[in-house]
Amino acid sequence: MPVNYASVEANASRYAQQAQDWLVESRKTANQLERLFCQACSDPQRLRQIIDLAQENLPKLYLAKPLQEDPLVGFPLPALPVSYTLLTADGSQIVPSRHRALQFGLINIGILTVRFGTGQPPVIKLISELIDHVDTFRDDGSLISDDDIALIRDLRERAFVRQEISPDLPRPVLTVTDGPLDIFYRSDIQGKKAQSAQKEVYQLDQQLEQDGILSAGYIDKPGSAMLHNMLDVFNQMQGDSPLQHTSRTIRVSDRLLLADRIAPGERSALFEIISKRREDTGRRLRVAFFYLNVSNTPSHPWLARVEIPYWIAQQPDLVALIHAALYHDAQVLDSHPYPYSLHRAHELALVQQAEYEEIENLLLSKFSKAGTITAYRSNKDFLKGLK
Amino acid sequence: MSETQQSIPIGKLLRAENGSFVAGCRVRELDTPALGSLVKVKLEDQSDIYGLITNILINDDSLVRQLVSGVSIPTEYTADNRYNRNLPVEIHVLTVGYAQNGQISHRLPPRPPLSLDELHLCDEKEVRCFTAHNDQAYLRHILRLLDQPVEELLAAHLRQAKKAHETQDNPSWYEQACQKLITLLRDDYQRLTTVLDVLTELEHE
Repeated sequence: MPVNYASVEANASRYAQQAQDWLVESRKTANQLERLFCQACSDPQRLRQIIDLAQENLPKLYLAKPLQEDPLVGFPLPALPVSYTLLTADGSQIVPSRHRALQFGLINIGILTVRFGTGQPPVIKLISELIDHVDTFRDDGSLISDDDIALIRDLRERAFVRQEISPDLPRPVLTVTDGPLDIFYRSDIQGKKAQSAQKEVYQLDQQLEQDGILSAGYIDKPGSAMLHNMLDVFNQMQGDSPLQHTSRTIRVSDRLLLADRIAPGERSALFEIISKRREDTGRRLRVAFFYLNVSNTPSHPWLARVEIPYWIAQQPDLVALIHAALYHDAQVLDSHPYPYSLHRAHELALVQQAEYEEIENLLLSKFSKAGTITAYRSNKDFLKGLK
Repeated sequence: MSETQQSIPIGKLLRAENGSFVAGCRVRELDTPALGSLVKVKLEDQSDIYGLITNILINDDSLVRQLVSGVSIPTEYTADNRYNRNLPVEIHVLTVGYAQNGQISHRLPPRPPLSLDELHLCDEKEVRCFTAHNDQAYLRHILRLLDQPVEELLAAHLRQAKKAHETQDNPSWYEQACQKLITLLRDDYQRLTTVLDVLTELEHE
C-alpha cells in the first residue's frame, strides 16, 4: 500500500478548511488590492515616479512597473500574419545522483521550428549534452544540484534556439522558451555564477535584437505577485499603513488581480519587471511582460505571463505579433490552452527512466575492466528498484 | 537479385505468430501498401514468408485525441503529427504461404518472422508466381478469417492479382480463382452468395 489513506483522511477535512479559509482571505485582500490598483493606475505617470523613487531607495525589489499603456484595460487580439516562424525550445535533464553507479549529468533540449504559411511539417531537433565529469562537481567538491543543472539547461535552450535561426526561415522569427526570460529567479544560484549566466543571457538578447529576432518566455499558471508588490510600494511611498489586514501573510497573484479585466484572447497592459537585489552588479536583460488570457471561455479565464525583452515592448507591432502568435498556438490545444509548439519541444526533450539507465550502461561500458572505478548503485537505490 | 529484393521496405515487423503478423510503418511510407496487397518478409535463411494485408491501423495517442477535439489545427501541425511524431501505422498481415529454396508452399511457415524483419511489397511478377501456384490453395487462409470483412479483402486481392495475370495474357487465372472459391464455400451457401456478389461487382469494373 503506497499511502496510509486512513491517516490522510484524518487530516483531509482540516486541510480543506484551511485551504478554504486561505481562499476567503485571499479574496478579501484581492478586493482591497483591486481598489488600490484602480487608485494607483488612475495616474500611471505618478505610479511610475513612485516606483522609480523606490528603486533608488530600497535595497531589494521585485515588482511590476507599468509602461505607457493603461493598466486597467485589456488589449484585443491582433491579426496573425500569414507567414512567420515560431522556434521553440524546451529541455529536460538528468541530475547526478550519488546513489547511482555513476554520477553524471545530461541536458536534453528539444527544438521545434515551425514555418507557418509553408504547410510543411515542423523541423524537429534534439540535442543531448553529457556534462563533463569535471563539471559535475561544484567548487566545494559537492555534486551539482538540480538548480545548477537547470541553469545550464536554461542557458543551453537559449543558445541552441539561437543557432537554429537561418536566413531562409520566413520572417518575422519568434523564439519561445518555457519559463521566465531572465534567469534571476534561480535564487540559489549566487555570486559569479549568476552574474556570468545573466551576462550570457544579456549578450544573446543583444544578438537577437541586432538581427531583429523576437523572443518570449511563456509562464503557464504563474504565481508571482508583482502587482501586489507594486501596490505595496505605492502604499508605502505614500506613507499609508501596510495593506495586510489578515492574520497571516497572503500574496495575491497577478493572475487573480487581472483575471476579470482581460477577456479571452486579450492581453493586459505591458509592465516592466523591476528586480533589484543587493548583490546585483553588471548588465542584465531588461524584461517586460504582459498577461495573456489564453482561454476561449469568458467564465473560465486562464492567464499566462508572457515575458519579452524591453526593446520589444517599445514596438507595438512586435508585441502584437507575439500576442497573436502565442494565443493562436495555445488554441491548438484549446481544451487545455498551452502553446502546442512548446508542448512538442517538451515532448521531444523528455528523458525517461529507461533512457537514464541506457546512458548509464553506455558510460559503464566505456570503462576498461582493469580500470580502478568501482561503479555500483547504492543498496538503497537498488532496493527501490525492486518490483 | 530480383526486383522485389531491391525494393524499399514498407515497414518493419512489430509482432508475429505463424498465422499472421503486424508491421509498423511511418505515414510517409503509407502510399504503397493497400488492403489485399501481397507482401513478403525475407528471413535470415533466405526463405520468404508471404502474406496479404488484411488491415491498416492508424494509431492515436493522448495528444492526437486533444487535437481532434480542437477547433482548428494549422496545416503545419497536422503534418507534424503525421510525419514527425512517433506513431507507427500498423499493417496487419495474414500469412498465406512461404518459399524455401525457391519452392513456394501455400501452407503456414515453420516459424513466424522476427521483430524488425523488413516487410516488402511483392511486384507483379511475384504476385503472378505466388498466386498461380498449387491451384490457388492459399485462398483457404482468407476464408478462415473471423470478424473481418473477408469479402472486401477477397475483392481487393483478386483485383490486384487479376490485373497482374491479365498483363501476361492469362485471363483464365481469375476464372480459376472464382471456381476455387466456389469449391471452398460449397457448404456455406450464405457466405458464397456474398462472395459471388462482390466478385460480380469486380467483373463490372
